[in-house]
Amino acid sequence: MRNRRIVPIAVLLLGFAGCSRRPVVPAALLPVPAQDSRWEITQKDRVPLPLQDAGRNELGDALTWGLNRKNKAENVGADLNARKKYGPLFDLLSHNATLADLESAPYKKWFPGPMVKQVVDARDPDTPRPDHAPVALSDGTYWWVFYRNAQDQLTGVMVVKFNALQTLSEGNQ
Amino acid sequence: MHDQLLAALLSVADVRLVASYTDDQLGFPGSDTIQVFIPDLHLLSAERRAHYAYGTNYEDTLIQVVTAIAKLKGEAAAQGESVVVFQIGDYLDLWRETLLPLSDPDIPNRIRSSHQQLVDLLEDPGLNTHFLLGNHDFDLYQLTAYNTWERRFFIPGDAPSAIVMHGDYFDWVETELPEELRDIGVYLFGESHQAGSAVLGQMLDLSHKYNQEKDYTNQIQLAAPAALGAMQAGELAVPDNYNLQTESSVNGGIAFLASACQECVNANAEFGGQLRMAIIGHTHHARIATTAMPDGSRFALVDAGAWIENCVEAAEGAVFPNAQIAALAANQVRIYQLDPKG
Repeated sequence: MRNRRIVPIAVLLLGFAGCSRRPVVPAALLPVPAQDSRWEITQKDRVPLPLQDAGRNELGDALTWGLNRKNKAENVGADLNARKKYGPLFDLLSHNATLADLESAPYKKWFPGPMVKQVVDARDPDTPRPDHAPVALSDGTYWWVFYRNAQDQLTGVMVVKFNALQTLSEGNQ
Repeated sequence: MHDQLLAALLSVADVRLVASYTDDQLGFPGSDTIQVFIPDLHLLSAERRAHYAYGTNYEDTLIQVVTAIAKLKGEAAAQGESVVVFQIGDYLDLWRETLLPLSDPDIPNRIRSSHQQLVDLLEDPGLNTHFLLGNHDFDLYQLTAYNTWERRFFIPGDAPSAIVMHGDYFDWVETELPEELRDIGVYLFGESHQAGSAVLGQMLDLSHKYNQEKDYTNQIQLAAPAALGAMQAGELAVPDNYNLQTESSVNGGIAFLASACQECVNANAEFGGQLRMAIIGHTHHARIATTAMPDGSRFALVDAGAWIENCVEAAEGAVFPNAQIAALAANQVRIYQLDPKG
């Protein structure tokens, strides 16, 4: 039922995006999109933070194929130099970090826009606790969802493509 | 795979070869994969279609063609082969449907529901059509249901030699100030760049600007039928190179060729790529045009045509509806005209 209520709200907000490309409606929440726009299949596949070599490869692969495994399956490229482009961000994510660090200058360079503090994921069995719920930041192209533990340490990341919300974000800048 | 696709097409349509082009350096040496490009359809709702003297051509034939391609894809997979399908933009015609494309997010569904069988086939997850946004349906990127649709693809993904794009960018290149297009060009041709929100906004603005200047009462692109040149019966052996546009073989035959080549040359220099072919739709003029790149190798612009408006073989010839697809395998690209079986 929770998702049945949230989805119409998201749709309502996105409807504003369709009316104008410079809306004033704030980006209040990020619905986690379908698998063809997020690469991650289940939460068990989440890329852990701090980033290790395996996670770095996984993210590089995901971004190369536009977060869509169907593109990879048919060798259709979307962003073929993603590893190079996002390499410095991967370096940053290789260090221990907390929620507060996401507001620091090195992260702001990658994620200049506002932080979205409500991430709605229909796969969640329970509503995340507000004191360590995931947050989302946009690099201007993709949304990066950061997961944290009760001590505010960043424990995982999921990258998603969500153009509709991208437009809302633009309206905030 | 060319032979298998042609056999599948011949089983459902009268097939004529519009053009063929072979280059050993194209970057698609394998014969176990074929890429199929379905160009502009410009679908409208039945209600709006009644307001125009023209519309999507031969929809029943197109349904049969897509059905045949889907069947071939299934059979190929069982043999370890691949059929990769692209729809290269202007699938839905939001601009002819309404003056405010996304004033109601249900507008795309209104169009789709008027073509349910075709839509079900093209959007079947099993077919895995790779959709591009064209200028007439660019606004869709703002709707969640079209989140995976892109503005360009690079193929083959692991060593790209071709860019697949709608082609409206070249309208802008040839009329707009270069600095306005810098970010868009970097996005479209730069392998390392996905569009950020600002670039998408710029593209949306340009698309709307061009739309506002157009009158679609009698045409979208073609004041006169597109001149394709002489076609060859589909049953005949396909020459390595056929009906290539190099200078001005037919009116409009080399449109966008110089711009497309230059953009790919620039991208190769800047990003270290090996692009030597651009596959587009948009102009509704099916053709393959070639020119020399600075290193002496060949560059090809493949315009897959359309399923709207008309074409002719020669200036004084009979007019018939555009109904084309392009196919690429084993370093050879072909364009076919598909008519209802006679």
